[in-house]
Amino acid sequence: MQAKIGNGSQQRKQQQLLTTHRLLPTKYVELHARSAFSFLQGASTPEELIARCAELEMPSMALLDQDGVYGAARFHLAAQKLGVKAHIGAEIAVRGPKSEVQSPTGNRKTLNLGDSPKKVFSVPVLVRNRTGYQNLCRLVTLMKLRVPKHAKPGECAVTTDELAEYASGLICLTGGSDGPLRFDHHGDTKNTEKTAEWLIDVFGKGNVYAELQRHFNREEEARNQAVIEVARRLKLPLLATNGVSYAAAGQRQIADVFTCIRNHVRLETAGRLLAVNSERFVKSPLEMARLFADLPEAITNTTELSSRLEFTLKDLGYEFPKYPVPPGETMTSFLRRRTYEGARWRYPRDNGSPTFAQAEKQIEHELKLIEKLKLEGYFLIVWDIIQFCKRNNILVQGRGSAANSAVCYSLEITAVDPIGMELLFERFLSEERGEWPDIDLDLPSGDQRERTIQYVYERYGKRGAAMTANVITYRGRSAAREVGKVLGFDEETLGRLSSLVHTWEWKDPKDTTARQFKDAGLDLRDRRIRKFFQLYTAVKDLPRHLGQHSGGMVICQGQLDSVVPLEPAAMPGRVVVQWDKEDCADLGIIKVDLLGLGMMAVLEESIQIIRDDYGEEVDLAHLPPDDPTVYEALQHADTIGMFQIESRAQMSCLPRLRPQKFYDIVVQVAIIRPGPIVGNMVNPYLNRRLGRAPVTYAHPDLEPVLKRTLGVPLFQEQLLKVAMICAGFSGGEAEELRRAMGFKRSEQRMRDIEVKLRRGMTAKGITGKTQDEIVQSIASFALYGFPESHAASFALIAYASAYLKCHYLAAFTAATLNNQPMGFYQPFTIIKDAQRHGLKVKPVDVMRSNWECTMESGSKSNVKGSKSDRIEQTLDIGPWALDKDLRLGLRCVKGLREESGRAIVRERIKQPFAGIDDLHHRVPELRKDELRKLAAIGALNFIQIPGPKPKVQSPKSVRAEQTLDMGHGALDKRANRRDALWQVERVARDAGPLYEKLAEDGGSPLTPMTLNERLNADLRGTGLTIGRHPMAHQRAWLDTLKVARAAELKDLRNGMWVRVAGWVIVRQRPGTAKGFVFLSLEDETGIANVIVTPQIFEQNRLALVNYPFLLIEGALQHQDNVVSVKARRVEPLNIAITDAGSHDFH
Amino acid sequence: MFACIYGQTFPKSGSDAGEMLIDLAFTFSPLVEQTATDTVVLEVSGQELLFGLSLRSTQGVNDKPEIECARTLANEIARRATQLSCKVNVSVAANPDVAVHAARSFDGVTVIPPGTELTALGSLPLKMLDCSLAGIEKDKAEEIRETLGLWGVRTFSDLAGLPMAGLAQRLGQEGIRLQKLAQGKDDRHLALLQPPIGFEQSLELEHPVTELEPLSFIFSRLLNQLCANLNEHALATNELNLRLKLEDRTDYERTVTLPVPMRNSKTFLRLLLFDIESKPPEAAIIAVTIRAEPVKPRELQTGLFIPLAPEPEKLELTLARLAKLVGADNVGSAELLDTHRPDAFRMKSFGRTGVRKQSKSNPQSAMQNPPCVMGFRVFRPPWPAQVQVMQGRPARINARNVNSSYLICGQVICAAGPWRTSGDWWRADVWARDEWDVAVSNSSSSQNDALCRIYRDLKSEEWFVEGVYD
Repeated sequence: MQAKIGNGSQQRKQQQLLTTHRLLPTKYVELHARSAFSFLQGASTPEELIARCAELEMPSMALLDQDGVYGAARFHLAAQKLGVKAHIGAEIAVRGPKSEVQSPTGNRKTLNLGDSPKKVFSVPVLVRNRTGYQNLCRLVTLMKLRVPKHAKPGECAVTTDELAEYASGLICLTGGSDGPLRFDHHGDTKNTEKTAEWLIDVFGKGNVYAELQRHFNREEEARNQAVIEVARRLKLPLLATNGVSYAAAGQRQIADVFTCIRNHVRLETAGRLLAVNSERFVKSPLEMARLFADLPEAITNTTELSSRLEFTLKDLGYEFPKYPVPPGETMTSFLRRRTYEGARWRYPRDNGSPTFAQAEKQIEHELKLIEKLKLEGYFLIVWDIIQFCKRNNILVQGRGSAANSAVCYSLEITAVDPIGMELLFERFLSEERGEWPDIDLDLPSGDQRERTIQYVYERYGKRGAAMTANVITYRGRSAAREVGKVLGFDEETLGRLSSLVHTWEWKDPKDTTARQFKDAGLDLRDRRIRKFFQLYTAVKDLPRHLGQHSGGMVICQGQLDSVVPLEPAAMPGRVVVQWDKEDCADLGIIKVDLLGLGMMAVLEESIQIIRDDYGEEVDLAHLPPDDPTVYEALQHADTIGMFQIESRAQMSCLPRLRPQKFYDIVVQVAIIRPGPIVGNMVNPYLNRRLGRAPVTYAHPDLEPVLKRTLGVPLFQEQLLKVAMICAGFSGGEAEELRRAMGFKRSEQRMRDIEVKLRRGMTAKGITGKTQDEIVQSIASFALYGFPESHAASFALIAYASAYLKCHYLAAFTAATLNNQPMGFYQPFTIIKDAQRHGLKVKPVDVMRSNWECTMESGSKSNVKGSKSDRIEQTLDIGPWALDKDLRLGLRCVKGLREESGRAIVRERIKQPFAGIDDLHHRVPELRKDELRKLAAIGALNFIQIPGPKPKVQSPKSVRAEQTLDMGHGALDKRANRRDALWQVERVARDAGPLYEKLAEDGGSPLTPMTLNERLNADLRGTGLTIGRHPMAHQRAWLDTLKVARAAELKDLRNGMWVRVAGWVIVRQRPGTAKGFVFLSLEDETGIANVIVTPQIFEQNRLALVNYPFLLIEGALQHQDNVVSVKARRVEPLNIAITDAGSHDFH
Repeated sequence: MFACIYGQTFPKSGSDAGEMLIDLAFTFSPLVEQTATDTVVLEVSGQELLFGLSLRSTQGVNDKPEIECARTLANEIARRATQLSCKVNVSVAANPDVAVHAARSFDGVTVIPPGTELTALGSLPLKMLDCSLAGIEKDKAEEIRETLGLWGVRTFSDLAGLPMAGLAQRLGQEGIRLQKLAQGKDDRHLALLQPPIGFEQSLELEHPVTELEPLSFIFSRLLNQLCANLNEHALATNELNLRLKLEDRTDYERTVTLPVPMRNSKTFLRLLLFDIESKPPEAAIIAVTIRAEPVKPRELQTGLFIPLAPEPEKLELTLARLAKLVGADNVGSAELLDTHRPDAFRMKSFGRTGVRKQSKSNPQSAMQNPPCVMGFRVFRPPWPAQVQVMQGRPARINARNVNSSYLICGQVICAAGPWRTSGDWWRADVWARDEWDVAVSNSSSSQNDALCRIYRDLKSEEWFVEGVYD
């Protein structure tokens, strides 16, 4: 290059260049851009790229992310909005052999990729037509699915043969510094020419463009000259691109940070891995024309090529899935038949139900629409999943808007009768909306859900069904740590920086970034700290990697890999698509959400236990509708363990709302959500319900919509209707509003909609305060609110859980414990609550316990025992069925592996264990630490221990242990925990030749555990205790301090000064509560609710956050049967309990 | 009998706490073990003549003579410690480990007569039992402690009371050793401290020294002693550390690193003098300390036909002379830095011989520059230039080397560029520049025609000539 400087022809060229500046082409299209969806290889979102493109008045742009079309959907949608044409493509990693390759035309070409050790190169391809897009998707799928998710760089690539096979419909660029022509740029163009010839063979003449990039770099220009020479010889068209990696020049810093993260180096040590300059931004057509002033055809070719690229994601070619029907049937007829079969069962004719006629009418209406929209296949696929679940006894229930459909109800997809509940079908499916429905199914979490997912894969083929992706973005502590590391901060500073990212939901408005940094001892005036903050802010929310959505599945009957590339998920046996569920919805891809719900598993297991142990059959679809026991429990907020209504906030609302019928539960489920709370809808509703405020409507036209909820909008549908009535929104606009509400990237969308809303309302004469109120209600729903149908589905599960708890407490508690972790409370609280209701809970016992918690037939009442025991059981037991006892399962033992637990049960069934020796001998799976754990919690006490019992000093404590530990067996045969521990150490150890045959001289020399030791051992070993509550042990002392019991609070008058003390089982600081903290203190009689103001919290932060046991003093608030203590003084209690866990800060 | 000193508090300034305890112990017995940083044990048997009789009158009448003596000794140790502003616990027992446990557990002076060990220590919590004394590793000790905790064994006497056979079956030999430790019946020898070998020599001067010549005599004396010590232990050194106390109460410190281990006092002396000359202290010297880092001497196998390399000692002296002339930062081998910043390098001192660790390869660093077709002569420092720009391209240049008459001046007849680089954006010295390769033609004198590389610093907006193509 330098040698040519003095050349006369170059001089002439430069002169020409100067004169032609005025004739520069002004139309340019950027055809090679990477977004942040190239994961650490691009620094801008697709939206930013498009916005910049629109700003520069570029008519179109192409996105070529590395090995995928991850950002294509967002790129397409953003482009659509701004009137830019979005071309799709990708950079495909190709592994090039240094050998002869067979070209599609049959010629054999030698593809010599030089001496470079890197044999993988990137081929940029642009999609010309739908075939090309399908080929691209298949090519990427092929590459991704054959290696595991976390394959090393270079492993994930296609071969040259595969590229040739799927080249049709694609246009190839020769790429930049990592493209196929990156080799041999040292003057010798022979190999470059061969590679270019190979590309022509693969993609066809006219489909290969010699790509030139100019980033003011000598080596790059040298390569350009080589490429130009080859292009001239092979008559390849030249094409200018800027190899864009970010929208604006300033984002080079993010690109450099990403380079460091990718290579695990710091900025200081990254050296020449970093970019040489900041030129990879989206340049204006004029800038590009100036850069390529000597090669104007390279610029004009961009618009020419752009016009050849017909394909956009609008022509995705996705077709609704088909369902295989029996011969003689069409999907339409088959769906009709199945629907009416179901409807006859759901709405029996013979009972003269007045709703059947309505049902028939509604079903017919729905079916017609489904047929019109050709969605029969979709409904049948979901029906098929339901049938699979039924066949396999897997509990399943649809949630969400599907509950608005009578067809779904008839097909048993949902369990809520939309006709009976007057739910709006159009919320689920409407022709006008132009969007396809999605059906969410709740399944028991765990294996059952996995079985269902695997069934779908099996039924529709590995390439016919996949999970939707979940794009994991940079946020929180991990982002802070990674950016900090790149900047070279030491561990201590990294810790401080990452701790700045609060995990607390509530954020103090005064908590500015500067203050946060100052509090952590970091000065924002320091250059490095400032740089950290600037980079952290810039990196936040950029995509980091692709995860798997919890349950969304897309199905396309064997052709999904031609619609969107598939790749393996981290979980074995799972395949995900490259788009998230929003992208899928935006592109009209239909999906089914198979969600795991812990409570479904509990219900399913409870029913099984009831069937096996009670000999009764419970049908969730036919539970007694208005069970008085259930409503009494709900009215008293006695709801621990019940679905959706067990949280602290729900419990404080229940006594005020006093549910009396099913719809009240629907309201109850929906009302304690951030949407209604922030929108100030809770108190107005409750006041109107209690008759303290009149039922009014913001506008008379709203009465029909809001009548059921006393004039207060509580459900999403109501808000949509309000928008339609007050602001004249069309169905489509209302749908846009709904999506903005449920959309995480919605702030800007909500603002746009707010402007539209206000305009509409003003036009209708709704102004001033009323307008503000309505806008506030709608905007707050964006934070989260339930649709009515969804609330109804959840309410059904809530009712079922309440019914089972009230009528089959033992079974329900066992199932709850068997499905931990789940719900709001720890097993400790669940057990204590069950015991207060009179359930007898028996300890873990290797001679009795199964792996799961089980039923044992037991004594009717256990409201006997010591005075303290009686105090603990203060609840009215009422009609609750208590003829079964609960035997804790081996799964309750922390650290005991399932394999060992099941082995114990298996061996015991064959023959009971004769001693700990025998147990150890017959269950070799049991490790020493597991044996110890079993002994420490008393699970081995029931095995006979050899030798006489030693005399012990403390008869009282021993008696206590024996009373609590032993559920059965003769007293003289029983050991205590220390005996067992003594034995365990012997059997689990090879004593050596000297001691091996030495007989034991009597029992253990150890002193039995004291009460407190046992409590600690229980909590450490199982996280729960069936003995007395830790607070019961302190009661005598607490009585001297005049501390009230939790159960006594309800009898005290409002405003009284009280002291309460207990174990903190829940700490909450909800984002909606303006900095207030809510504590739940449990003692042996129940739970006391405490409210802590922000001021008191700041004064007592340490005690409130760190101490497991607290004594709180303050005024009692007793209103509408809701009892709580407003804390004024907080004091930690020093109670020697080792493992005191709580659920904090939900 | 064994005494144990356990240091509770030490004076805040001054020497290391451990050293202080050791010094204290050595004043009472030559047989000292440093059990931990804050604990030393010393053998005190047979010291009746030193401490027993003279202080007999202060002791109780019931104690046996050896106990009396032990108590007196313990009191004396405590008294000396108090003089040194240390707060210590002292205990004496027939067993060193009993003494350790007692000193750590009881304040002041404790004497445990033989046979009363368990009575004295029995009620101590088990967490006070130092398993390392029984030679049990930390992890194993934790495991045993956990087991004992589960058993409800809380004190020394609880452990001591367990049946030995049962314990051996369950905890093995470690259990037995621990039990003996708790019973105060274990038997072990002290791990005695050896007096330190003197590879550090110091001298406090009567008069402050300001001249190099008298200093060289002092250095010579100290270095001779150091080298003799090294020789005695068959060692050499590869690092000399010189510390001078100055009259203005400041310290002056220099370290001379040697490429190979040596022990030649003359070479050391000259190296130190060269070094001190290149950066002399700013005040008169009142004390000198020289420390040598002892290492194994160099092993060199010479061959009959292998040409002799210069002796490392001589080479080092030459380099030291050079460093004195041109500055220490300007001697060594140039090393290119892995950065896009043009011409960035640093001077690296000639390393020690040995295997050099391969740095992790940076794929981009490994990329070779394209083979040059022309030579390039770099101007260091670059010449400031005046450049006339037309339509964004250099049109005319005028640059002169300040140290010679050579100049580059004339019309730019051809220019390639700009080649743009920038970097280090996270640092204060962020840089950015545009380079041009230009052909300059001077109509008045063809001698001044040149093909050169010029650049514009984008921060200062100034032009420079970086060099010429040959």
